[in-house]
Amino acid sequence: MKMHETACVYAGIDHNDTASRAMMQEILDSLPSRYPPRSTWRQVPLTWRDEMPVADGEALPGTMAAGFLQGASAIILMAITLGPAFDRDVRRLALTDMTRSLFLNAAGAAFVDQELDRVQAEIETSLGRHLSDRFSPGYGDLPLAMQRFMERELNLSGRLGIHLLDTLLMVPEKSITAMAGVFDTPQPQSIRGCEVCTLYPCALAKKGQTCGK
Amino acid sequence: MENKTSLFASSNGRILLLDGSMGTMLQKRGMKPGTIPELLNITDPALVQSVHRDYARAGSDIVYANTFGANPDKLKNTGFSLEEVIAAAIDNVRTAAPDCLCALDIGPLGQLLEPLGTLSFEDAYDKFAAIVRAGKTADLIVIETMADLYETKAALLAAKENSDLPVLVSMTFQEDGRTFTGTTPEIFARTMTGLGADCLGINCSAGPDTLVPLLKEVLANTHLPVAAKPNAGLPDPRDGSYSLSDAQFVQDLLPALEAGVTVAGGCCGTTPETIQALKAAVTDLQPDRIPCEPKSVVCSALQSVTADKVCPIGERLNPTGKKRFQQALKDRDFAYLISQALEQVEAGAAILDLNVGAPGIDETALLPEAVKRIQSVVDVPLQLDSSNPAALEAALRVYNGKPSVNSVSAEQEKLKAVLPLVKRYGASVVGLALDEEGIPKTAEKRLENAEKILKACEEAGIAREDVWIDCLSLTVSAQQEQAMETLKAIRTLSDRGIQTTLGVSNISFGLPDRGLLTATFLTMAMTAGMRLPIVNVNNPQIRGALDAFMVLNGQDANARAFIDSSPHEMGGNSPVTKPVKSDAGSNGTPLSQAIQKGLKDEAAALARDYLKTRDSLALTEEELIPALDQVGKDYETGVIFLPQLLQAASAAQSVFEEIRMKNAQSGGSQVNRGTIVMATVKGDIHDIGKNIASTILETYGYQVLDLGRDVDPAVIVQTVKEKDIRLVGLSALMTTTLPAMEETVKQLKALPNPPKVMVGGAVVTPEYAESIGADYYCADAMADCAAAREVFGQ
Repeated sequence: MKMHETACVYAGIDHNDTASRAMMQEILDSLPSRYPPRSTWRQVPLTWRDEMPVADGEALPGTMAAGFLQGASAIILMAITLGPAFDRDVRRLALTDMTRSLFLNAAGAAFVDQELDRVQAEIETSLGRHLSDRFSPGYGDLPLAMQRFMERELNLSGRLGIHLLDTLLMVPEKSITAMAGVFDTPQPQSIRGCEVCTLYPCALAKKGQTCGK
Repeated sequence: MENKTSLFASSNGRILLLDGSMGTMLQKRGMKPGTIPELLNITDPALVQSVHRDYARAGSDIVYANTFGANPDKLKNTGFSLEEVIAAAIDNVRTAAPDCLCALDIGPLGQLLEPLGTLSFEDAYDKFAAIVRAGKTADLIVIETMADLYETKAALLAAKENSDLPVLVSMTFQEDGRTFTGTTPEIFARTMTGLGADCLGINCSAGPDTLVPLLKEVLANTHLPVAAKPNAGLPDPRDGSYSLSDAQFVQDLLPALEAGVTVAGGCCGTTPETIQALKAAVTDLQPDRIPCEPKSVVCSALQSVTADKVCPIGERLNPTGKKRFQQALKDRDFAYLISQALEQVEAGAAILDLNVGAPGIDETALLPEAVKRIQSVVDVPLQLDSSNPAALEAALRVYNGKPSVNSVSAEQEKLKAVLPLVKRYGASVVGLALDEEGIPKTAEKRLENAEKILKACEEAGIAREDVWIDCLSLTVSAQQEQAMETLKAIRTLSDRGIQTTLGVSNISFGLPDRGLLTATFLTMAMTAGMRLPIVNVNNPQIRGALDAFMVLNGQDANARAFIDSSPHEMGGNSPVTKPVKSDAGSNGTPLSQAIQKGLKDEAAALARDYLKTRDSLALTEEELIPALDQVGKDYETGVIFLPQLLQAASAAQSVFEEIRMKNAQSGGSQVNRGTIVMATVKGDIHDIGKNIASTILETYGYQVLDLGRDVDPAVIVQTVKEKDIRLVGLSALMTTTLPAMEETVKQLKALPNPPKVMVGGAVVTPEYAESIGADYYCADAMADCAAAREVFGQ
């Protein structure tokens, strides 16, 4: 299972460490009931200023956003979070069972990402349209500063209790914001992974592994 | 101003009408996206006034000034001051709606408070205080759309301490009945009523239908008037429109009004037409207010405890007679306190007594800090235990929720010093049934003292349910007849509906088989009606007596918990996390193997045995360090992986704990190969990597001062100077926080005798580390150990 694989990579669990992999699965299984994710989304108008996409009056810089949105009729803004109880449990566990704390943290990261996949599919059904791959501020050449735009447009603190620190980190930590273009036809999966990531080469890449994205 | 709640109470069934949405109306009337609405008070007052005017015409009695987002941080860099914006906002209401009451509208600050976020309670208070002072000319204060109980407390205290205006406090809840941070309407109501709000409310969230059950819960938990200001349903994600009709809005809200809500308006999506519809519908109401249940309740922000059944209070967070605990206080070892707290919660403690009073300890500084630290991971309510009123006040102020206070007595001096604090901060209080004459000898005298306490509490405005009388257990080895006197007094008070508590352990002092005697007395006292025993819940006999009683009094339905924690002779069912299997640990002594295999309990037991005949230095050098070195080698060569490394570290920590206990007992010195400061840099809150590294470093015998996350460079520099630190470890996870790392290194290197600096974190590279002047780039915890070995020598 992709989520399990991703979570194991995040936690530094080796392929051959079957006991750890089993523990990770057990933790993953417990997540949906303990930390039900909450999400919100909005459709906003898309226009173009020269070659730059403009979402609800805000220009989206960089080639990545333009690439994803070429031909789209509108933009979807979305956000999801596992909530603050998750962060609290990770911290509490760090005091009594560091291993489990590490595993839980990794599991949460993989889980919330998968859940956003599900939300994205629900949006497609609700609109009766197709969405491009999603992308987020801080990916590729879309500046992290766009998080302020996301915060405003989605009312992150009012709708989901998500806050931005001065450094634009989101709290609670297992939170994701993302955008996608709306299309009439299915969109191809675009290139992801190390080639577009600004963090390359990261600690995983140096070991010859990837984070699965 | 006396009786400020009367502003919100209804006479003749009349509903006090609030206004509707400002934001929605401004958008409808042309406000551009990205505008800060509060600035319109100055740049387009006519627009703002038009909204106020329409609400006044629609029938609003109270109009909210356009100040919801007016706080120092949001107005920074706008060119307008807080005072200017608020003054203009109130002015606009006075001009456009002169016959309406004007409310200073205070919304959340937009930053998350500690412990989840980085804003301190004290800083939040200061920001709210500035807002309150700037809005003194309003008629009332509304604190609304709050999701965090702690932030709400800061705002309410700021309002009450900086103005005389009546205060309406309103929180926003999700459909599951809790705020984002986990607070229930019950916790909200019980806490804010005690802190002196004049009216409680629920606003925003969703449509009226989802709010009705939550409003009913608020009504049942406060005697104060209650307000409702719901949204016009949920916005359509496709175009942001609200589809709930005004008629439906009013229809859905009516059950709340019939249940006793006396103040009503609308939030997001509502308009003057909504208020008109509301006004028309509330003319002939016959409300039947849900009464406030008189209950003995204490709570944290996450959990409330009602003493209508046995609720054990864990007694172990107390330094009296506990050398290890005293050492932990001196070392500010909060991790130890938290571990003791969690152990008690695991064993069934519903509330935890917290006492940090010991010789050489600054209680007034330490008690509030201990409260914050413990509340950051422990969910159960706390009982603040101190004989120092200044320490009590400091702790009461920063406590999140409604605590109990241990204690007051019938002595006039105590009553005068402590009751005002209890009242001011809305706590419950334990009343010891002794007075100036000392410990009473009869049940009658105990009852007399109880009466004095109850009367003084009543005069101070403290509800009867919030007073828990402790009839005092005297040791039967000295005063054998006193046991029955205590029980008699408990029985009489219980029959009269007075809540009783009891510090039970004293009863057996000086006799053998203490557990048996204490447990039996505990059972007798609970039979007499005492529901809040202060006990050691981790003692198997005490635990057994509690669990058995809870079956026999019906509290443990179907004996579910009793069965689950059976057999009780073994000390109950403590969940054992089986260590993840390791391929290592086939060489070496039994202790070495236990560490390598991550077998915590076994390692601790073997260490205890070892320390009976040898000293801790030998244990560390001959067993612990070699075992860890082997673990480190196995990790580096891929025989074991991170989970097994952590498990071994955990086992090593339990050995260290045995060493610390032995040293505390005998007064020996701690093993300390060197002190290292660890911190996640300013602006960054990720700390798992740093915590793992700290754990590993500690198991190697280094003392780690973990300054936490989001740490200002100045704090790190200060600590290094004060303690002459030779090695600092910095962690950063985001590219945006690297500048803070660079700044920290710069400041450290500018010191006269600069420490060595090691840096790590996902975005840090060897090249970057070198470029900012760090001494070591550490890819993982083992690299940190290698750096430490180099800095401190072998």
